[in-house]
Amino acid sequence: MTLLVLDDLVATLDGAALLRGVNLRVAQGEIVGLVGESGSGKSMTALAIMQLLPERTASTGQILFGGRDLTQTAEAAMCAIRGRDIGLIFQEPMTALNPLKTVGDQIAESFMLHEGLAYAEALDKTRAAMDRVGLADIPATRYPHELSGGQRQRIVIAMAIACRPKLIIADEPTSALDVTTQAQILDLLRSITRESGAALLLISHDLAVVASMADRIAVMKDGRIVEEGATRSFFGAMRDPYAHALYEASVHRPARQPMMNKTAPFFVAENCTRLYRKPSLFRADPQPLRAVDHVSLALSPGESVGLVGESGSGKSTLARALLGLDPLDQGTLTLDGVVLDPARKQDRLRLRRKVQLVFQDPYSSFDPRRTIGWSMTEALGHLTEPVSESDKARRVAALLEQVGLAPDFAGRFPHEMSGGQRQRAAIARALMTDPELIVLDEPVSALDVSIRARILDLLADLQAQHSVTYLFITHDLTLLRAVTDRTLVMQKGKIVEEGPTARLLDEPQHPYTQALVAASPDLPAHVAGLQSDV
Amino acid sequence: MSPLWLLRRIAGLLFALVAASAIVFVLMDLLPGDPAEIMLGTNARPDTLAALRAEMGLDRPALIRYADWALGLLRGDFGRSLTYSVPVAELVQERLAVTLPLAMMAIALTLFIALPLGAFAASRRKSLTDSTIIAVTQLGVAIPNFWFAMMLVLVFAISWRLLPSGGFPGWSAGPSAILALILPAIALALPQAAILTRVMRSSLLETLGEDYVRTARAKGLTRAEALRRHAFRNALIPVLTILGLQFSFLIAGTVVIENVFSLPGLGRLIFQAINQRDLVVVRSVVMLLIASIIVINFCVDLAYALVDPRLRGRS
Repeated sequence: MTLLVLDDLVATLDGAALLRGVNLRVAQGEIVGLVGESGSGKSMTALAIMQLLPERTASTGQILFGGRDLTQTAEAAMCAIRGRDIGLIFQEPMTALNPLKTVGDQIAESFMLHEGLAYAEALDKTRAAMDRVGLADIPATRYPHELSGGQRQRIVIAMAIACRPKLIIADEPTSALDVTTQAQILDLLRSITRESGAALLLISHDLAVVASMADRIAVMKDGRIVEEGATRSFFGAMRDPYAHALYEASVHRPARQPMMNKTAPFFVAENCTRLYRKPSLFRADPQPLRAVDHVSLALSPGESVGLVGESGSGKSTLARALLGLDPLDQGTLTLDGVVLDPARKQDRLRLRRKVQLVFQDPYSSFDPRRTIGWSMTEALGHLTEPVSESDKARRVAALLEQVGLAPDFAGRFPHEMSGGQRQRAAIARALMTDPELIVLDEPVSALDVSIRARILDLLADLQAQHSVTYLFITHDLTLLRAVTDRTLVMQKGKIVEEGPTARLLDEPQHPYTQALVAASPDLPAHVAGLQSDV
Repeated sequence: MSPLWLLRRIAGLLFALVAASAIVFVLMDLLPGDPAEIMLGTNARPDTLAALRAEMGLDRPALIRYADWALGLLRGDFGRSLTYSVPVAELVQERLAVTLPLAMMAIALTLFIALPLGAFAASRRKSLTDSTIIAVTQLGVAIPNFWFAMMLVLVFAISWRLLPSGGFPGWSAGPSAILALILPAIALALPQAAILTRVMRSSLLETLGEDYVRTARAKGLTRAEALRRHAFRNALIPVLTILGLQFSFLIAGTVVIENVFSLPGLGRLIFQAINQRDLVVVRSVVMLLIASIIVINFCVDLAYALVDPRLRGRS
């Protein structure tokens, strides 16, 4: 039985086309994955089904839900359908909940609204709903800020499924979460839809996530669905060139020379410890958080090292310590045979020159009021020998060219560039002081897959040219496998396992690494499994 | 609210009060010449000056004088006015009976106008109603309150003879005492209400764009319900901040408005005391006004915690 039919759905906002004729069917109890890059119209499709498109959006076409055309349904009737027959789960669990209301009250609201229950009865059902999403030990009187990201997403799911809707729409439900949390949330979504017989429209940019969940996959581009098919046969039968390209980019591995003969390390961190103490008026915190706990690592010229772990495992704190941005409570940093003390300004400058950083979000890592050229030259002269203006300009132009940007990008402002261009510029900026080590903190996780593949190629090329060392901080194991020689696994401030990346991922020893590997969706392996089934 | 949190806030409050009193004292002490000289003018005879100095205790060290004054304030002893020859405390008590109700009426009026009007404008964003409200509040922000007060008198007291143009009959006069405060309260409140309406509107608009409001809509709430149940309280947080600041403007405003309407309030008292160089009164009343602003801001802090669970800490 068909539950939802989108028939030639078109939507325009102020002359810009959001949707250009979407045709999609979702059967009862079916999981349909909708994949596409940012701006492809995935979220707009979800909002169109809910009839919650931005004001002033003009739309044509039909949305048949259980035979009823939602585009012709009055707002009052739509309010009764939203939350009762269709549940919507959003991407950002951090902001999707009202910070001033308890999570219980927010779930209970659905029951009071759609089932006409009194508050006390609604709270009983809320308890049951929270138990169902695996939050049996969380009191309903908690506020959102008292819960973790994964727990908040469970609350959002509990809200969406409260009234047992026939259709659940999940818009990037796990994109803001850790790998292991993502696996748990996907499991929960799958079991809840199967058990309740609801259909699930799963929207994601991540083909691996969709392939592991969906019965059917639809690929969206520029407001249209360009490819669609049953998951089992989808990857063998892609006809649309864009769908092909999307798949290729998703499994892309840049051509790079693995490190063969490792030379002596140039950068050594020994026994590094960084404590976070709670501020207290009277005495030192007796149990400080050991954010980085006796970590030692040694990096050799030209190698690529991965640092993996969940949020809160201490990855970023360690990176800040290596860059000399934070003091160490214990331990030493040795660069090119010289022991450096980040507490001393001279040593800090030396460290900064040789160790540079590329951030996750290329937009917020540039000063919006400065040109790219200005931001790139800023470090020259402070960290290096004085450089003449013409040399600076030459260096900027040369590096922009190396990262694949025209020299006139030096005069552009960050907002005049795309995300991929900004990340290229960020890499060029990191290369300005001729560093020996670049710390890449989730350098591609904010980028669309096709752009991400090109950035990875660029990083591989630059490493060959500059023989620079990379420290990749990421939670993406597929990425690690593609771009690193060896990997360090961090948990609760400690390195719990390390070794050559391929071996570490194929035969993880530590339980934590095993859990990470088990939780990571692996698209090539999944597709291979599907095709051997056929 | 955790006790530690509350304890810290109270410690902060006490510190601010002590610091403010020290600053007030030092500023008065730093005036060129000394208070006695300022009060008596340049032509005073040396022996009168010396007598006044002795009476005011100016011959003692500054630290002792400060301690004397500060401890006196704590006991409710504000010193003795030189022009009226009565304890300042008595004067203040009498004047507060006018200023306090006036300020309360003005604040109530401000909130009563600004919150609904701002919310109304936000819910009808970019409509004619919204633009009209914006234009009127723009005008309200720009108009000086003393001019506005005079216009109110012209219209309501002189042309229409609905309300008294000034003066205060005393609380024993019953309802006519309240009537006497209506125009001054409106004059004080409207400019503040104009500012607060704009804050309320923009804060609510911002909140309406938040993800959790979209979540509320997806749950099946109507636009108006989502606004009332989820956006409104969140939007109040910035409004509280501005309201806290407005108290100080309001208190400064009473000095002007009480003069325009010849109300025997605290603002008028301080104005007259400055004219008459009655430094004992000036010092104590200024301290009282500052203290009230500090205490009000402390209350605003508590109100934040009531509205926003994130500020409460786990108890």
